[in-house]
Amino acid sequence: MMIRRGSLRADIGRLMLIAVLLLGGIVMVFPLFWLLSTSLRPAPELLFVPPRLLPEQWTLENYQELFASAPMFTYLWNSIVFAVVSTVFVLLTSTVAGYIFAKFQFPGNNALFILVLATALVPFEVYMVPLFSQMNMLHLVNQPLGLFLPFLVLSYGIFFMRQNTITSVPDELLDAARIDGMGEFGIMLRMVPRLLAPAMSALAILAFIQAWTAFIWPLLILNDPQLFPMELGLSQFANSFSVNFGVTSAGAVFAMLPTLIAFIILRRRIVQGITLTGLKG
Amino acid sequence: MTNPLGAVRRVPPRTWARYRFVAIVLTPVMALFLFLRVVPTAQAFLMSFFEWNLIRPASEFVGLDNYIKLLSDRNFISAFTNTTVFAVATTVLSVGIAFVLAAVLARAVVGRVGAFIELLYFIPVLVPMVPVTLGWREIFNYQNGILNALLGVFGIPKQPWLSDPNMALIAVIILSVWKLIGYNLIILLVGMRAIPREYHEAAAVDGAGAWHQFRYITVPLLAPVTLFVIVITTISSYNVFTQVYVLASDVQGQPGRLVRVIVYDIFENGFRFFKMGYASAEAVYLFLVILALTFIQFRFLRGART
Amino acid sequence: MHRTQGRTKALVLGSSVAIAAMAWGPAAAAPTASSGGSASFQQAADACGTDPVTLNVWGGYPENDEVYRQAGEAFTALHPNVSFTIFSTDLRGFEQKLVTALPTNTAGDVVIRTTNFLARFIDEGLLQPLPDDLQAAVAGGDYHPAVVQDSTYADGVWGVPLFTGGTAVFYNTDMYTEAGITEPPTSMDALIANAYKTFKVDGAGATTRSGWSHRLSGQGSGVAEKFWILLLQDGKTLIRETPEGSGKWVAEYNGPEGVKLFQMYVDMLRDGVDSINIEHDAAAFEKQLTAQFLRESWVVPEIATSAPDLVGHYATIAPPAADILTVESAFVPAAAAHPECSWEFIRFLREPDQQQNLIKVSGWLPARQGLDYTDLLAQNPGFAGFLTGRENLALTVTPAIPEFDEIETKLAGHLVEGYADYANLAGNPEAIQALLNGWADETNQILKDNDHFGG
Repeated sequence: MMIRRGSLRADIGRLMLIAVLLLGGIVMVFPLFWLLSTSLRPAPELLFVPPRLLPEQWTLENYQELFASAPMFTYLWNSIVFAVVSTVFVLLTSTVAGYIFAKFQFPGNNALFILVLATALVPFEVYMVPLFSQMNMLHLVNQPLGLFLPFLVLSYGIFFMRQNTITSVPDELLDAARIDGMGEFGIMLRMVPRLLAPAMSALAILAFIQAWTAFIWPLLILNDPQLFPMELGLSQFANSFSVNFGVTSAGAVFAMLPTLIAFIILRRRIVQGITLTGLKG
Repeated sequence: MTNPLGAVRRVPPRTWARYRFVAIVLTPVMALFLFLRVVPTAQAFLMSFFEWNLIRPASEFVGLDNYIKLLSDRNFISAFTNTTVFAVATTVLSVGIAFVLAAVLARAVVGRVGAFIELLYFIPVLVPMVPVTLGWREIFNYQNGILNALLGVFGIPKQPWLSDPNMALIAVIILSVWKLIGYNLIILLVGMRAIPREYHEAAAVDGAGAWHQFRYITVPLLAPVTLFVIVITTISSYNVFTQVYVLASDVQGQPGRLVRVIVYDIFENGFRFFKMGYASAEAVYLFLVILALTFIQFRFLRGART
Repeated sequence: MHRTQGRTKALVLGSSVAIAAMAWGPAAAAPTASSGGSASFQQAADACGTDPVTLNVWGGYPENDEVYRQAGEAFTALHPNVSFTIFSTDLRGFEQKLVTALPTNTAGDVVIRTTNFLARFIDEGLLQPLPDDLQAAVAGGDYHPAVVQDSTYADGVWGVPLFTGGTAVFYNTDMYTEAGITEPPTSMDALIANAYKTFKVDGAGATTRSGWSHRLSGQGSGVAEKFWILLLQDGKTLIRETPEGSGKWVAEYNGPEGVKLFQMYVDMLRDGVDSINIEHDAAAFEKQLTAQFLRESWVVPEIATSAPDLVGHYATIAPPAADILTVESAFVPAAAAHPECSWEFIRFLREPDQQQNLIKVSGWLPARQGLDYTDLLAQNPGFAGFLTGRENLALTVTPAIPEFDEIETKLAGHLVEGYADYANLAGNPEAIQALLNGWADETNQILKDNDHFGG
């Protein structure tokens, strides 16, 4: 697929490529469309054999029930605070540690990095009980801080920023800045983030989603529904025997809207970041 | 034996300043890390040498008993096999597809159309896992599922997606790849867009075609980021749980077939059978396998780059 | 009737505790023969004091949230200083939460779960002993002896039974009529015969409607539990205490009755009466893709909401001879901040009115016996199989050994494999016997490991 601007063959090739990508994209969003369509039908229609693509009788009753039976906006607000705090700290800790691991030789560099990587390999179900005991010792059970703390660092965030620092931050640039008399803190806090802007935006999205979809930890650490984030609040609809799939779908649609919006906004930032880095040549 | 002081003297003062900087900056991050990840993990691993029922802190030291018993535990062996097949397939497919997509979206299809397509592929990442798995269960439904209806159009007979042991594994792989592509895509896109345009332009001037540019510029320059994507996909695939749990759960009373995976087995031993020491030993095995795989991946990709 | 009026009045005049107490006195006294009526209530009125109290109620079944919420509102009317938060999630999450919260003294004020699950916590002294008046009330005839038995651990009752998970046969009356069946299924033979009369296959021989939707797959112990219920109809069980009362157990499912039952499963799969691939259970019944199946009472209200067209075209009947019984009870953690008030709320929850409201709102079966269900049955005849004709059922409770869940869960895994191999096993009793013996060896080994084997 050789692409030369202006050539007719290339244009046709490009259009076909887009068509294939769009087809794949439709497959990707189909399950989501299914959730949306399910959230808009009355309960008996969920049992139609065979199932229909669109509701026969459109209804908002699932959304009404969702908002009537749970403080969805409290959950939403809690989730936003939680995700934003987590994202800010993950960005900070990951960028700093990733940069140090990538660009500084010091005794224990490799050992520490392997330790970081190794902790990413352990399933949460294994260490959550000791972690919970630690939080309890600090009297952080049922406290927002207890919820936030484990989400302030992200093993693979550090790994991610290290890999991106290797790719996107040339040593020559750092040395030049040092020769110009720039301090280490200045380089790390002012120059490096500019070079890493696209990676940081990507990490921000991932960290945001990670906090947004967290379930087991909020479940363990929080007791008061007024403190629940969305995913935990939604679980009461999704997991009983006689699940009302219509309401569950409505909840899922409502829960993913903010992340969708955040992604669209942050994606622009990525593009912006690239134009910034384009300057580096 | 070298005199440690002698070694210290050889470090130039500039390096000392660097060390101090590293210490000041890294200490708070690593302290948080130590407290939140390393200490509880170490505690759990220590428990793999004990008979620990989760509720009572005092436990009996059993040495390597848990590890030895696991080697002949049929559930563990089947969980290990399933998880490995799942992880390999999911990683290869989700990274492979994402890589090709990223290459196309980074160079060939850009602008508004590119952004829209990117969004389409990213949406699955945003959907909460439990409801979307319930949705997929409808899609995979043998009698009335959309997937079998679609296959019927092409004359392919109905597939028992959720009840046949092999098909159930394939179904979980499909669902997981679907969920992961967008995630890997945006990471790889960031990496590809960071490759300076000049490299490609210079190559084009030299007469290199798209494939050559891809092979000799994109692939090697993207190696560190690709390594990252492969490693985290492998890790997250080995930790698969929710999909499997929901597909085989009682919800609406029509469970699919359980694809036993390691974390499910850990959950079952630890939280259902209250054998948390045993479950911890299982986690250590899991840990060792992923650790080994990670090292191989590091080696392999580092080798590929030079 | 008098009782209902009293409650309405209490709600209306809720701010005045004294008036509420007068209105409530007789109601509270009526069923609890052992404790004096108004005296017990006087003590009760003081239980929550006058300072603001928040009770956090933890339950594993989200469909019961509304039950506790309504009960909480009524209770607040009597005790204006008490407010409630209700917490629930799916059972898996709930059990993980209990495992982390109870040992660290951070659990809720009222915890609702089975005595069997909480036994290990009782061993560690993490739950409060039941107050004397409730101890007497539970033993005093308000509950079926099997309910009391299931709630008894280490020579005592620790929680107040709230609801139970009984099973009934759901059958589609249209499909029965169509097949010329006029009698409800009252025996295993009838159930099997009806299954063979009602299933349907398409031109290619693939099952399109099952005659009996069995539990053939899934995680956890569900598959073995359904096998167990059917085995009980023949007077046999999964593991038997041998000798009776010794605390030692032995696998029983590999006897001739077990072989016969397993044979029934694989025969039906071979004959297309049921199929592994098609839809099952409640969903299949609601979509009219099966003629009959066994399930708990929550399906009844679910049918009313999700499949209203099916109402009036199906019926329920108690299983032929026996059922298992699991009881969800209300406990108070040892570290609860206001234990007296927690117990007072539990006293309130076990009142007949609240028990009636439970089945009305969520469909789960009240643990108390002797309640009048005339109105409910008139309104929703689907409950008939759960509330009537059960007097002669032999009720089996979960063996009070902690490893039972492991035994049942592992057996479930084997059964799933076994059913999938139906083509080789149907009509081959020797192979089935060998298979069951192998599983029973594992069961007995688990019992031996825990020092509970009595072979």
